[in-house]
Amino acid sequence: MAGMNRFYSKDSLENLMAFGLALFCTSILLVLLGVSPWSTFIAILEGSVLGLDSLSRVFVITSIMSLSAFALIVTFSCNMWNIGVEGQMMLGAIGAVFVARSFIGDTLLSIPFMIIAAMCFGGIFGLICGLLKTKGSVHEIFAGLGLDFVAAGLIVYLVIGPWKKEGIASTSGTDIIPEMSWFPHLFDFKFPIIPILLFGSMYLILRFIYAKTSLGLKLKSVGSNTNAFSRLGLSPDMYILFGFLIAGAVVGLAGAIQVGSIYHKLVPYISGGYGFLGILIALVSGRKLSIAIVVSAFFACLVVGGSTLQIKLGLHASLPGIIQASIVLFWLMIKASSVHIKLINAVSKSYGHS
Amino acid sequence: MVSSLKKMKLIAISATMSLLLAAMLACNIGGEADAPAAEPMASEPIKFGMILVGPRNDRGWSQAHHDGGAYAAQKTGSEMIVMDFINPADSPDITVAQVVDQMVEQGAELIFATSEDMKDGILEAAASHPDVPMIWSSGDSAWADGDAYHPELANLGNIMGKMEYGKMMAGCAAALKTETGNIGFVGPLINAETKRLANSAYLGAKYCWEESRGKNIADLNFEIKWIGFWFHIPGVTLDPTVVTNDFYDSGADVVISGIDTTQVIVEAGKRNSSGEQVWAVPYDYHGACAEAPGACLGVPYFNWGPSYLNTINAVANDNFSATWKWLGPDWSNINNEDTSMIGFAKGDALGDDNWDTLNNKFIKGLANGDINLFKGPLQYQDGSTFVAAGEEASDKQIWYTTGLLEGIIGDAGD
Amino acid sequence: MKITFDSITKRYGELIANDAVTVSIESGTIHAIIGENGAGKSTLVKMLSGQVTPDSGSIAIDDKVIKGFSTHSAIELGIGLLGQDPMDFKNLTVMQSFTVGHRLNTSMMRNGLLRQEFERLNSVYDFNIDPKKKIYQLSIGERQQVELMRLLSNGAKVIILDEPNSGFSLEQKSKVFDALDGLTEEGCTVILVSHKLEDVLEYASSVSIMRKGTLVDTLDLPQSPGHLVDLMFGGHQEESVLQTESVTDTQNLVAKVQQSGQTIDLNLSKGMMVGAIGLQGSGVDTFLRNMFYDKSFLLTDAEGPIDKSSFGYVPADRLERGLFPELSILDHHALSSTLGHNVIDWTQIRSMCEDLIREYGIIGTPETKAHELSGGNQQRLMLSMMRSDINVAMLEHPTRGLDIQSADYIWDKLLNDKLSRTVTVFSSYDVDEIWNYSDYVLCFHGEDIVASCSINSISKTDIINNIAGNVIGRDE
Repeated sequence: MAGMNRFYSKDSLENLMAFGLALFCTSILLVLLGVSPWSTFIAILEGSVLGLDSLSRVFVITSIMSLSAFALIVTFSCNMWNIGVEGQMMLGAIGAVFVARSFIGDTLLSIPFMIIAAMCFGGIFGLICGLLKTKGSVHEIFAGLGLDFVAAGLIVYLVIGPWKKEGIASTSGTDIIPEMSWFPHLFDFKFPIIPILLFGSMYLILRFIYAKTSLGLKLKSVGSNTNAFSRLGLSPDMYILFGFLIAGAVVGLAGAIQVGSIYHKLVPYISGGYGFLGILIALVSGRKLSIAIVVSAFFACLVVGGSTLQIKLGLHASLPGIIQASIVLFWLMIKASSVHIKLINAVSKSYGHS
Repeated sequence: MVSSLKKMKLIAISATMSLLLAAMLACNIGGEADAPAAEPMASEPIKFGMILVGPRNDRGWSQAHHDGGAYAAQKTGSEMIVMDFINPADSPDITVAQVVDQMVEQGAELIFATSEDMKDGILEAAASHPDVPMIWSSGDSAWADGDAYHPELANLGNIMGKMEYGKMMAGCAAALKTETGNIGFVGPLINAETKRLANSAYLGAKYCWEESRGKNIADLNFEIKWIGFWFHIPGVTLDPTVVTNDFYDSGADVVISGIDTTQVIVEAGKRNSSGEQVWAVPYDYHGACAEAPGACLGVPYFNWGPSYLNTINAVANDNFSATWKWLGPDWSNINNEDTSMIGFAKGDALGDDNWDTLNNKFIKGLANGDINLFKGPLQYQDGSTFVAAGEEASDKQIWYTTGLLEGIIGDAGD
Repeated sequence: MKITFDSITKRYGELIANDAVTVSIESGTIHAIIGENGAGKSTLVKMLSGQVTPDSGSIAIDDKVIKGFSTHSAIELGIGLLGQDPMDFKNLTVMQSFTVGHRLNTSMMRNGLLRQEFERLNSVYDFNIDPKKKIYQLSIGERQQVELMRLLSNGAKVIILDEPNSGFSLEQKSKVFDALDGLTEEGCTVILVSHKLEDVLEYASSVSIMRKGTLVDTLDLPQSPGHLVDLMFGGHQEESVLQTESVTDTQNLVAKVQQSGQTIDLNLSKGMMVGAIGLQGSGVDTFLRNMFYDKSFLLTDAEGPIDKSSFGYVPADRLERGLFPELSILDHHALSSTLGHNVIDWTQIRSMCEDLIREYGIIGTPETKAHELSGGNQQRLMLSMMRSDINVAMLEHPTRGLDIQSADYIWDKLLNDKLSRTVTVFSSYDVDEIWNYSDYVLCFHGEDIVASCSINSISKTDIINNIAGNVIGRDE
């Protein structure tokens, strides 16, 4: 894990520099692909923050990505790779749909219970991953990967099985949930109040846990050295389980947002890869909650704005994905090689001399 | 200060990246021009959006729509903006309603949402953009007599082709060719549309098996397997490649495709070219046989161009109305690209004699009304009545088919 | 090779580890660097091995300034570091660990060659290490021997020994230094970082003295020990007098100890200091760890078994088992003191932490991370984390790698606290330490406890005989 430690103490200047370099490298890539980086980035900007509808989508996707990244930051603090994050999000979505399809789905109670159910379902699924790790001695990466498949299979089973549409057997999804279970928007620009409240409160809670509580300190220390942890008479297993439980509950909320704000039904692969993206966000943000939000917002712009490239510039549907992936890749490469820090030093030095 | 070692590293990294880029370039990631040629116009050009569920070049369902749109764009000088891969698996970041929002923002005056799967999204979009005419292809939201009529959506029309005829021809071709009497049908998901099309294929096969080949229906084994969606989504649906091969391995020698993509004909082609006597009937796209001509018995296809052209003209002339259109073939020439909604392209592997039977007996019979396969008595698998004896099925009966016909082996999704 | 450090400065936060240090080390000598804990010795030599980058200043080898020092370039230059905690791979065998990173390890074909090389060095230096054993089965001293063989075999021209002798037994030490002496004649340079004056006086030909990050002086040896001590501690060396109050045998405490299949009952008294001694590599290495983690150890007083939650354990490998490398001193104290509490009162913890830093003389700030502390300060941090309600303290080699002042301080502390505790158990390889501080002694030979008795009923010679396997004094 020595390589990971490098990501700990970064100030915003270094992040900005790394990001700028990543953007630059991606621009070169775009030029080589015969695409104008300028018009691409302008189109992404226009298609994300400059439109009311798209801004609303940026908010929603930022919430989903932030919650995924938070979940990863929690488990990273215990030195665990929570690859099961996708499955935990799917279970959160299942929990939310379960409530929305129940007798309270068409009442005011639905949304609060969807949120609670999503946290419980996601948390329990996280806990299973933790149990496989601590009690079953299955490496958490394999446990998580396996559970992702289990969750994906469970959704497909529900969609074409018990929750299928009347007379239809299609993996395209369940029936639309009652409108009372849709997360409401505020104002003309569809301000997605619930997703923002969810990730905002999770941010504050996690910050509090890590800054002020013994639990947060223990999560951090069990990740730093399990031997030293058990020396203090504490059970590493218990806190690793705690970490997975919290992570699952947090990312379960992202599943609820997918259901309540976006799909309004259960569809296969409802996690949409945001969980895996959350891993990358957690890494590039140096496992810092606040930076993770900023990075999430940026990726949300990229995702939302990127989806307009096909219409606006006639670019291939896979291009936004390539841009996104290459920025992450360059960013991680730059951070790992600390080119950005050398650049900052060089710049500050040359200013010092002149 | 960057040491020489670091510089070397940088150079190495950039060299690697360039290689990567070159590889990507080779895969043709760059933009594709959809610019329509400025042909003589039938009316005012407009800008319209085309939302495809799969890739625009899938040589199946999505390409049929894309080509139809391109045909209409060319005839009118209109501009088509395309979004493909619009399904939750390929594009989790965007929903149909959001695509419509973007297209409208881009100035689209008409939207085509071209999949059954887009139902929820296009209903939402039609409600939020009441001034923008939209077509939900394959849907029934504008059918006043239908079960899912949305009278409030005055801007949302439907177009669908009577592929029942195409599937009957597909079934007939399969029955004419099969040597083992085992016909497989790779179905997508189970709903009313897919059930009526599977039934049609069976009825066509049954007719030609009995009438043209003089065989006993008890010797015809017509089995259907559903993959779960219109196309393969790894981890979510069954793999149509596997399903197709399972059919051939278990004794079927003809497989009819009911899915959006080309796996069935591709697999048939592989086996056929290694000497196996197996064939396939693809679906959707008039050029589908080109995947494996030696294994192709012909393809029933949609020709969306004329109906999309009419819609564009209506929007341009400001007389669009939200109607439900269920269009059949132009029986005078089912392969007329300017008039016929449904066609059947001959496949090399069918053989001239069989083609003669199919074209001059079966298709002719359908055209002049001598052959009406939706005529009672027809029963579902469970023995319940679909069409009573002496009656002919109404459009509504056919559209809202609830089960698979007696004689078909396979799950009806109940 | 001649090595010159020129105005080296290194800071960790507010801590100045090296302050404009300039030293020149001649080729073909054994040069010692001495100083108390946290004086900056380790930091200085880690720059030479490329593990630490100086904030300013430069290092020259044979009068050529080397830029951009990294661990890789250090290896290329033939600089090998033998650290306090050997850099090896726990799950590999000795042979594999020797092979990894070896210059001959270029293809499968060389395995036989490497094996021969290992056997040659093993017999030349008389180290007697089984190449098939796993690294985690070895003692720290043996691991250091393997590492030294690898460095030498790899053609190291500069060997840095960073407090290695604390892990060596006497016999091993003389073997190792004999080997190094021979190497200096071939032009090798040896840098010996130590706080043990007797070693320095015996083996080194010149010495640099450091104090609080600065270089005090560089002198040729021999010098009088008193003068060197004055330089190390700034002339304020106090003669520490230990007030040892011997605990009498009231035998109100019974300890059931399981060791290599045998169960031994120890009749102890409340407040006793129990010393466990054995040669390096004997059962004494893992004795305390097993006692702490194993359920088999049972301590009973008049009121019944003593609760395990009041056991405290200070392991020998500080960063591997004892501390959280990424966490600050403040975090460590918060962790050890808020057990059972939910919300941390950071103001209170900080003032407590500052008190403990002062009380234990830790050189660092509350924000200093554990891995940034010197070995001795890590030890002090571990002791400072020992809660006051700990009834049974278990300490592995409590003064390993510490300077005299620190060691004395720690013994002061332990002896002071022992009466308030039920029992204090420590392990050591050092007979004098056992003899001076124990009330009760356990002697290990191999995996077995060969003698266990009150310190009053055994002589120093008997202890040595017991651990050496000389059965004369042993009851059968």
